[in-house]
Amino acid sequence: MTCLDFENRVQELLDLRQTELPGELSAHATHCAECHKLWGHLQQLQHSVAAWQTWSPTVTLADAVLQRLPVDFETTANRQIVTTRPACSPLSGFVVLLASAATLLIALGIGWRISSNATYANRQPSAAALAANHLVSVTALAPAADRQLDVLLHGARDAYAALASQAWQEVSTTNVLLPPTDSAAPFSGDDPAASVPETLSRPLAPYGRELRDTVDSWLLQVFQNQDSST
Amino acid sequence: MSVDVSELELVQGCLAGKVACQRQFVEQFEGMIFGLCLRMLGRRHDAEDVAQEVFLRAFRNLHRWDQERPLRPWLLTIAANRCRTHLEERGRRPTPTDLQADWLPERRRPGGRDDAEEIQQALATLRPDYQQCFVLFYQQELSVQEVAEVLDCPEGTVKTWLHRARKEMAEYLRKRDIDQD
Ligand SMILES: [Zn+2]
Repeated sequence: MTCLDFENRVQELLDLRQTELPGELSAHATHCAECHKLWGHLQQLQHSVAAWQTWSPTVTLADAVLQRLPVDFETTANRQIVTTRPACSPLSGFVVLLASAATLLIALGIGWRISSNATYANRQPSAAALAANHLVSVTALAPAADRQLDVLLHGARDAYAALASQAWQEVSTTNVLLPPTDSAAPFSGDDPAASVPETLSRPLAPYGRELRDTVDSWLLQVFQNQDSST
Repeated sequence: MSVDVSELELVQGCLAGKVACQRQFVEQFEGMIFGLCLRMLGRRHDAEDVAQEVFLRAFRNLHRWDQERPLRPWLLTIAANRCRTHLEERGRRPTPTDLQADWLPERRRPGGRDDAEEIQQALATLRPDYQQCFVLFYQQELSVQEVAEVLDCPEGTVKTWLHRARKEMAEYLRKRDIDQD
């Protein structure tokens, strides 16, 4: 048995709260001064721990905790009701849909950029043609890009509309209460708002506010419809 | 392990906002939580602050408690994590003041040494991970498996931390002996 073996096995014994060395280990400790010392120190530690672990001064925390509790707990109680109501599931589903919509937008943005690059590449004119058509190209390209953006924007609006409608149907089907409007406001406070980034990728950037407003109004409509139906 | 029915009722009472239940909840577990905080943090004032935080946090998250599992390890998890965070926020090696446990009774032996105080001092020199393991194993008397559950880490890791804690503490006591001789 090596000294390392001895130490490992002693530690395992202590893990099981055994305080006696079995024969083999005892024999090693008898002949090995280092391990004998180690065992002595670990025994001393065990002995000291016995005095340390039992002593505890009395304490009264209830008054202090309960004094601080109302403010803390009131919000928790509300949250508890929200989390246990089935409303949570369609709402979180809706947040997922919203996040998907944001992803879709980004994907569309990327797609647009790729197709846009392809368009520019295809339109790379020869040096002679470039000079001749310079003015035409510039004036033609800008509206084309705008049109693309318009199409994209409408596509995105439709996508959002479909998602919002789908979410509303889900919420309606389950016929459950939504959380208070202050906690459900789509673009205030918590994470759902973050699902639609404040800054959209480049081609959509100028339309970020418009997109957010569109989504916001759709969500508002969903919640209003829900309110009136319950 | 199954849940004590009275624990479940107590929690439901707390969630329903019954003050009597909330008070009973604190009173039932304050000794355990405070004992752990005291040993991990060393100073009574810090331990009281953190123990209060632990209860507030527990109340705030009571609706997340898994009713299939007993309450004690769940609370110990919160307490161990809060203490660890507190220690990390101190962000430095303990000063001699940190090593003076202000909560231990005056019961020095004739030779001028006190076992409990020495353990407390040795403990304060350890890494927070090791401290957590040591306190949960020795003071809360949890098994290695239970410590692993409370700390949400593998048993092997707990064993390693516990072994190192023991060895470093034994070494600390050895050096103290040499210094005093
Ligand atoms: Zn040896």
